Amino acid sequence: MKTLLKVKDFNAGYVLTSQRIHAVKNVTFKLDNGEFLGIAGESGCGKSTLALGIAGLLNPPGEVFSGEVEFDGKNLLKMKNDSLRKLRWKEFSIVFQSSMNVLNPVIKIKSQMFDAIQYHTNMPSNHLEERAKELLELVNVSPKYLEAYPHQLSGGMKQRVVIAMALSLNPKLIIMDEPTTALDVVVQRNILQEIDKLRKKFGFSIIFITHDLSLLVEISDTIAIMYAGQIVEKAPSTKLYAKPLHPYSYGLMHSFPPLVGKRQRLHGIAGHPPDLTEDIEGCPFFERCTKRINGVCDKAKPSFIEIEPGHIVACHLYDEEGESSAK
Amino acid sequence: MQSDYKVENILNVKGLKKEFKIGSFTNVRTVHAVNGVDLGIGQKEVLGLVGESGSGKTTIARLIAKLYDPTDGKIFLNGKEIPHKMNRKALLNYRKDVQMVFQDPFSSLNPLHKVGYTLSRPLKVHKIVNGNNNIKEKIEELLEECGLTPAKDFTNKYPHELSGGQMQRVGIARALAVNPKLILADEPTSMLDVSIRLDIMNLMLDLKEKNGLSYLFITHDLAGAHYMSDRIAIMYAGFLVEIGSSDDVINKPMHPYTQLLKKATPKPESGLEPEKLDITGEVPDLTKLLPGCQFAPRCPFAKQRCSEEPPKMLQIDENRFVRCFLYKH
Repeated sequence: MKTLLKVKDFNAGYVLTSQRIHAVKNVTFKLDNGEFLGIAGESGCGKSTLALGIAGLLNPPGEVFSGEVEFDGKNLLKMKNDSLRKLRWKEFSIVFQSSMNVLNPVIKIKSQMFDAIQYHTNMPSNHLEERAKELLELVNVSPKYLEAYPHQLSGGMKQRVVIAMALSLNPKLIIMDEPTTALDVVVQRNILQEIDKLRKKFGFSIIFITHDLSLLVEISDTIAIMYAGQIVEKAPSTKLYAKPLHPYSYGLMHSFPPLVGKRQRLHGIAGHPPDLTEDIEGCPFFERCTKRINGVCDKAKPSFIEIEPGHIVACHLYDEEGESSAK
Repeated sequence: MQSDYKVENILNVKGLKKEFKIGSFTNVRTVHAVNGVDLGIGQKEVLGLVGESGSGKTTIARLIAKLYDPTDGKIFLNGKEIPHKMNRKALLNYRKDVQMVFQDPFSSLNPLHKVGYTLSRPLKVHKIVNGNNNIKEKIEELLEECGLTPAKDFTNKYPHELSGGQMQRVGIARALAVNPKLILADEPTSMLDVSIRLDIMNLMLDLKEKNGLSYLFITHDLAGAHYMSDRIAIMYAGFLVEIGSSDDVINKPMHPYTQLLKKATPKPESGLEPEKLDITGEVPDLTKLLPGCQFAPRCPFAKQRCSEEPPKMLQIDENRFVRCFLYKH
């Protein structure tokens, strides 16, 4: 498979007058053509900052500190705003959590859908209408809503319209930042089925960001778990589900009560994530970890180890330092 | 975790109805939010109330909490009917037994007051303890009970100094302050981070055992309801469509809507291939109630009868009821 997106040593955060929040730390990953990558983590773990940073949409006080983002052979971070604008929508597009607020309430759905297409292509206006109809049909919204205003649509329909807009120029990558979190489970499932169908049809890649790990396990090819701004584990979703290696992944996986089966007591992860304004020495999960090794985990930052092909984890339990202290 | 249903119910609700008028002047419409709901909650029982947004589950909690006046129907607490209109004293008395925990801890605590003040209000208003020292002691006891230790540190904190989970613990402590018998918990974990949701649910279960509480646990998350509840009631468009013991409703859902909810809920434990949904559509428009079953337009099993007459709640066995023509009527 050809690599579509390469992110290397990506650092981003927010610079305020009194403090500097280091929200994304040394994130490195690759995304293949047609791959569905899920990024999971709690709120404040930097997953949205990462998405915005990659897309070049991180506005002040947000800032990309360092790193490389190579998309289809182009370095996005070195590009000027104007040329980035030409890429967005056309080459990659973004769907946000609150798409209800993305749509302008006083402009008809039709004109909002035309807008992105017109900016990037010279499509004649009679074709525009056809294309918009086609797009709405793709996401299962009746074309009669082209003439409607956003308030006449339900939350699920608005989200579908936004997804249709993201598809309008056949991008190679769609970044979805919690696109279904605000929706009901049934609507969520319907939309996810739709996305999956479209991906198989058009072959675009997806970065899907959510806090709902049990959902990701079902829909994505690969999952990256983020904690305190860092990726702590990345693996094919079947592997991650069968055997989460990082204690945080394990905890997150077991924070969701199972739907079927016997009811039994489970435990969440005690404590709360670290303060990102301060530099963390050692592993960021140290404070909350049940398997921590004193003297190792609080001193040295764990580096990535490839346990199996494609399954990487940053945890001292699996490296030499951890092993030697265990002996 | 199982409790005995035959115990005398602490709360009974009969034919509860709530309509809201919306719009103005020439365009007044009626929203039928809750349409004749019957339910009971036993002592030390957790009843999970599950439904999508707009299904009327929060309205039921607010009706029981007397934050809304019902359009019709009766509420019984300990077998005694609660009048629709109550004076302040009667309301205070009622709320000493029935307390509420809200969904959004970020907005249900006053940001201008310290935690200690927030917790002292119910103690003073309901005259639970007297004297500043006693109040202080009681506040610390409550905080400790809810896992906020050391309690002395927390009394002097403002809500913005707490994390979401800690705020919700304060919310629970506030409800607990008056020693209520019933707590109405309106999606208490949906605003919290996934890794701390379980801790809040575990805290609520521990408090139930310790203080002999009953809960109405409202959620849209079927898995969470299964974890918390002894019995689960499923709502659709203001109607209860199914009610039964937690295990029965989850493992053998009878109503097509419950089956749909179960299919839509992520459940990686039962295989990695998600189930395909063949049902589309969303929660119906509550300003126009259908003559038949509200779920009929989305139901894969709908017959002509379903869109003509409303199905009645049918008793399947002792604790199991379902509102559907698929079962013997």
